[in-house]
Amino acid sequence: MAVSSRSRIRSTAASLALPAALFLASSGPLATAASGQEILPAVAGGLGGFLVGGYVSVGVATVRARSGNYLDSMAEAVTLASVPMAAGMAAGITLGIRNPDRLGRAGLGGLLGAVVGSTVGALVGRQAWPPPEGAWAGGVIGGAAGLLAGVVIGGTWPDDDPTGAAASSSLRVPVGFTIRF
Amino acid sequence: MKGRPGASRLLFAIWVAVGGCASPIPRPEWTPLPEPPADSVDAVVFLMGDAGNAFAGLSPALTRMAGEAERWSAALARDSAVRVVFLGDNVYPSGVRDRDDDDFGTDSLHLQAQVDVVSGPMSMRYRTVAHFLAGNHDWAQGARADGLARLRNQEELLDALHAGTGTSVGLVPTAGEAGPVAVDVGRHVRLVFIDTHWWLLAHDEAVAAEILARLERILSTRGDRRVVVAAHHPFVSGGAHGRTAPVWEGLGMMGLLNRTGALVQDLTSPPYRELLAGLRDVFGRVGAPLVFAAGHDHNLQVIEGSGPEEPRWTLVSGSGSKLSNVADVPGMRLGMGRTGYMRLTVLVDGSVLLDVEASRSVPVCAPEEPVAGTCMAAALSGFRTVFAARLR
Repeated sequence: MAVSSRSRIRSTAASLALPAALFLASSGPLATAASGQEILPAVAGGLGGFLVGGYVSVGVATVRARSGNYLDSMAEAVTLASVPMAAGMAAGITLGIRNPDRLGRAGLGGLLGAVVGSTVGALVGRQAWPPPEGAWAGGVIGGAAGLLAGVVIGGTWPDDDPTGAAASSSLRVPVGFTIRF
Repeated sequence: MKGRPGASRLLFAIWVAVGGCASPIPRPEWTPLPEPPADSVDAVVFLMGDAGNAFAGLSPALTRMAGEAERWSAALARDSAVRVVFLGDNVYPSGVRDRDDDDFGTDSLHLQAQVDVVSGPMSMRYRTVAHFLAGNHDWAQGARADGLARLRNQEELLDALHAGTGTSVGLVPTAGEAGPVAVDVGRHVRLVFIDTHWWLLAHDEAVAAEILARLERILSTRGDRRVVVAAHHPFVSGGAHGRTAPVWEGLGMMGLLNRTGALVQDLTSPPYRELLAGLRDVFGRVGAPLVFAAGHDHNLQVIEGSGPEEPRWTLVSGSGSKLSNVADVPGMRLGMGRTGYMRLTVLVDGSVLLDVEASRSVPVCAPEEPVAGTCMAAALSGFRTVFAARLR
């Protein structure tokens, strides 16, 4: 009946390892932008990845609960989510530093996927399970799946220039102006 | 002064964000009941749950209840006329560990503190009984494989304390049995004990049906006895486990898990819902109990039921050693996050009186002297009757 919490953590970690690996593998060469310009995307990526990891963990926990493996406490939920949240944060920071454009696409894809997934999931969940938790469970599962899919697809969508050179050079448009004393 | 409206709006926004969904609890309306003379009392039942963090001499509620149990044992002067029901979570954080575990000593002290409630001379003389129900923490919360072993440890320890001290204590239902078990007290009361955590773990329709069939037999043979069902998980609650949490609670994680029913200890989980549906079904067929007493949420609640499928009264007495907030739910007559316990006084004419005793103190005093003495003295002097009602 019960599955050990270790295997539970493993299964969740595995769910986040995929996007993390995809981001690292596909992010291309390090952009040459100034370090100040890297901070904001890195922070945004870290925060976004943290939230994606948390939300996907909630989705995984909900799937597991609907198959009979419930969480006993919030402490267990936090344990379950800690690895995906850390992995998501690491992936987000890495993507933010290495390729902010892809981070933007991942964010947009994730948002779109979450909205579509939540809507479809809630409709399905309402039919599949008793109210009111059924619709919520479906919505969260669908939302997590959509979010993950959107982030992965957006984050791995190929650049126009696979080397990333175009993206890098586009950051260095010279702007001339005159200061009058 | 222009900043003030802005500040007010900000405070309002924070209030809405933090507690906007929690309905305020109305002031309890009640009339103090005069204490009945001892010769008009058939039995007395004390209710306390979630006392598993307490230590002897450091828990105001246990000390106060022990004094009351002693007083009523002397006043009634009859064998087993006074009962103390510990409503689960008797040992935090994860039940009684094995004897070779470093923490076994601490676990034993938590249990000993509760056994001490019925170890006074009058309680011993008149065999005042302490019934211990299992709660989710006694089942080694979060470690299901160890759960039954931990519960057996608790049962063995209680048996050893019974054998060693002569106190009338025991785990009911016995470890690994869901119950329900019926115990008749005096002429008018039937206590019915259910290990609800066992149900939540089981997920087995055949077993569930058997439990409900047994409950139905117990209820249908009650005659004119007032039934008090005792379980760890409440029938209804305005506490953290019973309410529907705001979506954003716990950075959204707690709110979402609560709403999806993924936390089995919350009333929103499918197994808990099935348990309640099964109980409602039985109550609807053979009549609901007068009282459904439980712990689980760490506060004091008195909730009046409505309809034939609901207990006439749901009592949540789970502030034995921890405290948590409570929000309003339909039928709530009292909701209070204070340390305390409840007492049912059953009269010879069959009437059942409820008294809720509480103090504003911390649930467990720090062990350092002289702080402990001061803390205990202040807490004990702070106990008041905060609610009373004639339940029947």
